[in-house]
Amino acid sequence: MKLSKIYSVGYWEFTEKVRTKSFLVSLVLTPIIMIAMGVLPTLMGLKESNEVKTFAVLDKTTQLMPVIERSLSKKYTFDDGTPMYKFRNLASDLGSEKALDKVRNEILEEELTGLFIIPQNVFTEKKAEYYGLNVANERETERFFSMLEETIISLELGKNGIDSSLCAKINTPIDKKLVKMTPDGQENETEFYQQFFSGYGAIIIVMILVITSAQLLVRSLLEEKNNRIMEILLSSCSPSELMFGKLAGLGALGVFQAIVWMGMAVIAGLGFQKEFITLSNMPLILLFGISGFLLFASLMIGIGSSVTTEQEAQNITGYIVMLAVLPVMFILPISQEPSGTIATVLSYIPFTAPMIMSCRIVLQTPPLWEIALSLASIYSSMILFMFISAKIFRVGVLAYGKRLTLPEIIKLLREK
Amino acid sequence: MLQVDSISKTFSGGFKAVNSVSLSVNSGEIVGVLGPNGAGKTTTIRMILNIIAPDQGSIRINGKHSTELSKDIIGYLPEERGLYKKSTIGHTLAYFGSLKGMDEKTIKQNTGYWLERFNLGGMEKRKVEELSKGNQQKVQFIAAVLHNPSLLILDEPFSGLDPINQVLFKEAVSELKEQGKAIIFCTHQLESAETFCDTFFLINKGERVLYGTLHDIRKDFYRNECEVGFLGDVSYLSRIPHTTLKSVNGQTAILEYDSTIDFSTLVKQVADVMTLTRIAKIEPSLLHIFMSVIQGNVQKSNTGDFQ
Repeated sequence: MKLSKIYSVGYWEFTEKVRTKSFLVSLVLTPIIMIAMGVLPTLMGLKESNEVKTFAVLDKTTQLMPVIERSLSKKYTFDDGTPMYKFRNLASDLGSEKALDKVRNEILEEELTGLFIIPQNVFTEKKAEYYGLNVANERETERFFSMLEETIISLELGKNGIDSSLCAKINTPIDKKLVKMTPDGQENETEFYQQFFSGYGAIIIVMILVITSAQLLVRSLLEEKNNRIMEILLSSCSPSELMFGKLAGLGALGVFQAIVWMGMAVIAGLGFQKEFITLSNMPLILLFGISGFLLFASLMIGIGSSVTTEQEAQNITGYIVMLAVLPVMFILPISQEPSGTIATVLSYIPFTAPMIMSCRIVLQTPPLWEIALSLASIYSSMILFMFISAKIFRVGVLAYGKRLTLPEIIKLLREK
Repeated sequence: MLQVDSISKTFSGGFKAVNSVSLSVNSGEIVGVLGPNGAGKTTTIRMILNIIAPDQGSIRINGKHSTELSKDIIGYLPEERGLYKKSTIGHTLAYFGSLKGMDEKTIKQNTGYWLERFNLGGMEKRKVEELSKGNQQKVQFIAAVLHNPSLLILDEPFSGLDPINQVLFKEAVSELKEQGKAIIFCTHQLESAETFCDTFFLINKGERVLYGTLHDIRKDFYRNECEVGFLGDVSYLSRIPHTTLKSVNGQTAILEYDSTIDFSTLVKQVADVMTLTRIAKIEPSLLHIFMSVIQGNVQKSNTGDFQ
């Protein structure tokens, strides 16, 4: 194998792909879409709507609602000081059928958001109800019910001769301060969401890097096979030179892509005054990204050279892509417990290791031996796949018009 | 320059694609490789190109065993045409050139020369897909010759070209031949091969069936027939000894003569009995030779198709 030829192939793959419009578009759009998909729903969920919501309340005790309403109106207000919620107390009707029918209609017509029912025996039974078209508006119902609890407690305390202002004091939540520690003694104040998005970002960056580069590889192989450029290439270099050249070129493209995205994350961090990714973590994330690419590419190269059409390729690569997407499902348990069993096991499975490890590195950098073991698992399977793919590649790239069948591939592998 | 010595290739599945085939190509020589589809031409060429290894036999280039390194001195224009559609001409040629081990400066120089030569001067920045089919073929031809190879393998280089471009290509190939390149020319167009090649190599079912110069291979196919143009009564012709009149068409007749008389005696005899306007031996055409050899084989085994 001659390095200069590997370089020529790699240089070509990199420079050709990097200037295509689709690559540039995905370079810019992918992070935007990812951020939109991951962050926006949460941000939008967190954001208060600026609409006043009206609830009907049937307070059968008749004594709780005035207190609750007063407290809620004081506690939850818009920037201009007006309360967020309005309540219609149905206490006077004491829940006549007619009044309830009217409320039901108003809820269906969305004039009222919902109806709370506080039964007479709420002090002993501790049960209350909420009716609404949407019962997933946890924020509102939570606020009401916890205020209900607070009010009951303070009333009960009052009955027992304890100052009710004590209740407010007891109920004041603790202001949490989360400080992330690193082995080198740095301590940074952080928030759950910041942690979560950094982990999420690391997984996504590595995943996209792996998927896009590996798919580019299959596509470029198929193009050359279908338009017979392969013949010109193989009359100029050996199959191994071609294979390694492609890996080098597209790997470099992946690194370039990842660096751009991490740069974007740093800039976004500056904008939000938060650090999503620390510079010291970047080399390790890149290392796992590149290892992941090599692993998946070693599979893809065998597939790309054994099939003949884009459809055939997509059928098979679809499954492999799913493997690469799998770790996204584990983001939550891993961000809860970056050194837990799930995270540790997934770090040693070659297909999930690159993404999971990058996530763990961001959240809570695992010990060196774990990183080494994870890399060993990735590279040992990569070498195995590479060996198989190289055999298929030699024959597959010149087999036109007909996909290599499984028996043919097995036969190939047995040949020396 | 190129010495191929009894190479064989059997593919998995037991199909013997090439069976003990030999040929040689000298510098400044054009060898026409002919044969029906599926005869083993592509396999033979791929072995010469070192894309696949022969099971038996040897391939020598300039006296040395062919290796991966030999690829740098071979130029190849495959029959199936393909280029990177979205790439520019300049970038594509630079890639193929660098794969052949050329440095940047030489690539630039040679690209400029050949583009100019094929009336594509200054089009380096154009995308391949913007070119006509003929112009794309020119780019492929340039890719094959850019690195100034000593051995050039051209598979159907003229197919799909208009007459003007055919002339352009033929001139270019002739010029490369003058420069001392060894050229292998694969084609189904027997007429162009007949005027173009010095030596012919005919392969069928993996075996070499004919090999030599046109003169050599014609020897076995002469039919001792001549075409006679005459004035006057044809009946005089039928009276010439040792001959048979095969057909008459107006003032032209085909006369078959047996091997007991030579051609010059025959001319004299004909001239004695009637007014002769012209007389010429009928030379067997390459097509005729080709058909009789291949069909001879076909009758034996009833397979193979020739276009």
